[in-house]
Amino acid sequence: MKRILLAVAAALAAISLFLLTSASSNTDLFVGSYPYLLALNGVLVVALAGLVGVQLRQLWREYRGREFGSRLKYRLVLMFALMGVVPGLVVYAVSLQFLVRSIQSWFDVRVESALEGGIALGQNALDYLVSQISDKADDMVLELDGTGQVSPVLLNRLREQATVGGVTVMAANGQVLATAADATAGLIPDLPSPNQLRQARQSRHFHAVESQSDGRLVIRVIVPIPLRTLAGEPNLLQLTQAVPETFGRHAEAVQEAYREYQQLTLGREGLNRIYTLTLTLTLLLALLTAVAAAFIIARRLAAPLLILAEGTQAVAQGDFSQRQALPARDELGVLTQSFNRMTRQLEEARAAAQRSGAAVESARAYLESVLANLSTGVLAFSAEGKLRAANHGAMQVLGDELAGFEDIALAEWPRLTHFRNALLDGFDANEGDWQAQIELPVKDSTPLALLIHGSRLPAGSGGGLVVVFDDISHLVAAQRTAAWGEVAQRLAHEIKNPLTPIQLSAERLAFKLADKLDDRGREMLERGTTTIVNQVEAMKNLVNAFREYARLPAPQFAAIDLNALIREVLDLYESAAALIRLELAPELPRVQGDASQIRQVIHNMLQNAQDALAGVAQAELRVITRREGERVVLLFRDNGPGFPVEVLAHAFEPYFTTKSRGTGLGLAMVKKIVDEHGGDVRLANRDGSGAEVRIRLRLAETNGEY
Amino acid sequence: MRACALMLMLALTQGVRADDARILSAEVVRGDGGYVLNADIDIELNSRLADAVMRGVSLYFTTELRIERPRWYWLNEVAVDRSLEYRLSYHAITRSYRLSIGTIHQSFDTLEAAVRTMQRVRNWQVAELDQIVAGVSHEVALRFQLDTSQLPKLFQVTAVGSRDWKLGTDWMTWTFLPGAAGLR
Repeated sequence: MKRILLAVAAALAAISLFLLTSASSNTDLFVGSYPYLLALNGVLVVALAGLVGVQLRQLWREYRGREFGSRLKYRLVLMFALMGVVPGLVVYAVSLQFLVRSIQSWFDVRVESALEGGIALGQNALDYLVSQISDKADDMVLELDGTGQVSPVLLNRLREQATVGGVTVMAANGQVLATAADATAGLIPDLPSPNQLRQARQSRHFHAVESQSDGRLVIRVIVPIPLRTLAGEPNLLQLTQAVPETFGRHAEAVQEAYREYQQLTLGREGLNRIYTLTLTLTLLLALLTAVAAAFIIARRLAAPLLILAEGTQAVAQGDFSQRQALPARDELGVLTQSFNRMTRQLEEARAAAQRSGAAVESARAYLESVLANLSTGVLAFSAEGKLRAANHGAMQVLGDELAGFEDIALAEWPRLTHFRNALLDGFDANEGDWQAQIELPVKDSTPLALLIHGSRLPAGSGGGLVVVFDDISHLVAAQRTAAWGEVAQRLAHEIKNPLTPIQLSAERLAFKLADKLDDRGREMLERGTTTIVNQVEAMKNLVNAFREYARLPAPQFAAIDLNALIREVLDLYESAAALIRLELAPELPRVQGDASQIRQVIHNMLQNAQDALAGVAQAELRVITRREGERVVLLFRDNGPGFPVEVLAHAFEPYFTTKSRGTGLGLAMVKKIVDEHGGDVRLANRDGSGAEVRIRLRLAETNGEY
Repeated sequence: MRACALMLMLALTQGVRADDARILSAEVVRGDGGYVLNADIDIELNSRLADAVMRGVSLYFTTELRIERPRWYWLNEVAVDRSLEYRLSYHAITRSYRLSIGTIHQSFDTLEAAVRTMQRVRNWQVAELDQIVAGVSHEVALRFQLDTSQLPKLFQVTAVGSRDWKLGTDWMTWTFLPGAAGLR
């Protein structure tokens, strides 16, 4: 747009300048149009100045706004403009000087004085001719003096004597009295104008030089012929003589030269102005065009550099989009194309890197999620022994968030000392991988059985240690339970078999021998057999209990009301020594369970508590139910002596009893039933005194209904 | 810049007339076989112009007359558009001033005499009888001015924007009703 504008303006300027210079040379064609040409050029100058102004303003705004590339454009424009302006100004100054000097040199004092002298010469010569004719007229008047009438013959003779062109005698009013003329003149005499006549009458001498319409000069002299008498107007004598043609021509030539010279002198200012104006306009047009062109050239030159620079910036900011490439005509075009190629390659490389990075990342994320979802605990240590990573399972098993452990070595762990020592021992004792099973005591609860597997990472990948451990408490407990069930069944079978023959044999002994013995002997026999039978009976009960434990039937699940069940069982303990307090949640949801088995659990727990509270003053047992999330908790709290520490670890194992009597199956049975109900049991000692048993049971599936 | 100023001056001076020229009186009257103009114009050549004449430059003066018949529906109809051209020059050899109208010329010893002759317009036949409609009022406009366009080229450049080279009167207009002399 701007380029077209500039081209149009430049073309117009060239045309109008041509016209202006043509008008400045002396052709009449442009005489009338000169002011309009001047005005047109002026308008063009103004338009170009406006264009340059707009461009300058735009550049200035870019420069002020610190727009990218404006600095380069500014410098280019400045350079180009200087290259255009400085030589232009020099040429302008020189030509102006030259012009003024040369115009002044035309005007020479000598030429002027010569021309003036020529004019004066002509004037003097003419004056001389006039005075000659005048003298002749005076002479002729003397000849004519006295003669009243003038005959043409006399007049002609006088004319020939005086060698003048024409002689006429007129009355005062201009009436011709007599006339004589040479052959060149016509028959009608050349008469003076009334004005001349009047002047002639008033003055003694009238003389004039008249130029004829054909350019010839004629000298006219009129003198009065004096009268003898004073009365009347004197007649007038007129002499006319044509100035010689050569004289007239030369005088005319001198006059023409003088006139032209004078015109030049007068027009010198105008001439100066014309040339100065033309030159100035030319200079302005050329300079402005040069400056305007400088803008466009600068823009064009800077464009590829700007593209490159912008591209570099964009690449630095991570934008690999393709830049507009210039057609490869020159090195700059090739440069932009190579730049584009480079960015494309960069982009591809980055994309590839991103793809592989994403793949690695997703693999890592997958591994991490696998690790996080493992119930197995995994700990990774750096080569220096500091914790690098711990999965969720590890925190769960250890019951510790492990916060801040990343900064301290394993040997300085403030908590989890058992675990720490086990790890240190394991890594000290083994060169390679190792495996160990430890028991981790938990405060006021059953200890955890952990299976730990330690291994060393290869030194190539930075070294370090990895510890994998599992909570195998349940596994151990299940193994024990299974083992005990097996034992119980075998024992029951093996023991029960001989019991009946023993009993029968004892009764038979008593029956057969009772008659044969004396009273003392019979009494002893009866006592002995009774003891045998009773003990056998007790043993049978024991065996049955074991068998029951071992062959606990699969629970028949139903939605049961735990509170109702507790009240029902408590009816049997109304006469108990300990005070039993119920703290039952009023709107307890139903739990999933087998009513008879749960009743058994409650029964066993109450029995246990009663046993534990025997001999305790002001014994109190609290039975609490409440809801905790999706579970119902059943708590038994007493103020008895609590569980001895060694009991806590093995309380659920059959035959582990501290009581003097009992089968030792109570807690084991509870544990087994609750396990099969999908709940859990925990034993703990309360801070003050007394024990707490916590049983958690699942809600019935008809959630929210009673 | 210079051209700019020049244009500005051109525009300014276009409407400005020198005060040393005015039309004293003018009338169109019925003459023999047509209408003639009688007018008295007062002009005074400034020293610059007089000097130019002395140095041999020919000055051209024109008296322009325009008679229009008004038309209500369109531009006025031009009935008469005539001009009288004088050429004033100096003859150095004979030391006389010469005033030419067409091919006719007259010599004067003084510049004032020559100018005086131009100032008096007498019996200039401007219209045939049939060019003027009797009984209809006509608009007559008259002006007298130095015709700079006939000056030598150098002077034209000088004349552009120069007050010295502006000599002339404004258009003087009056209404002329043929049948009676439109006198002003």
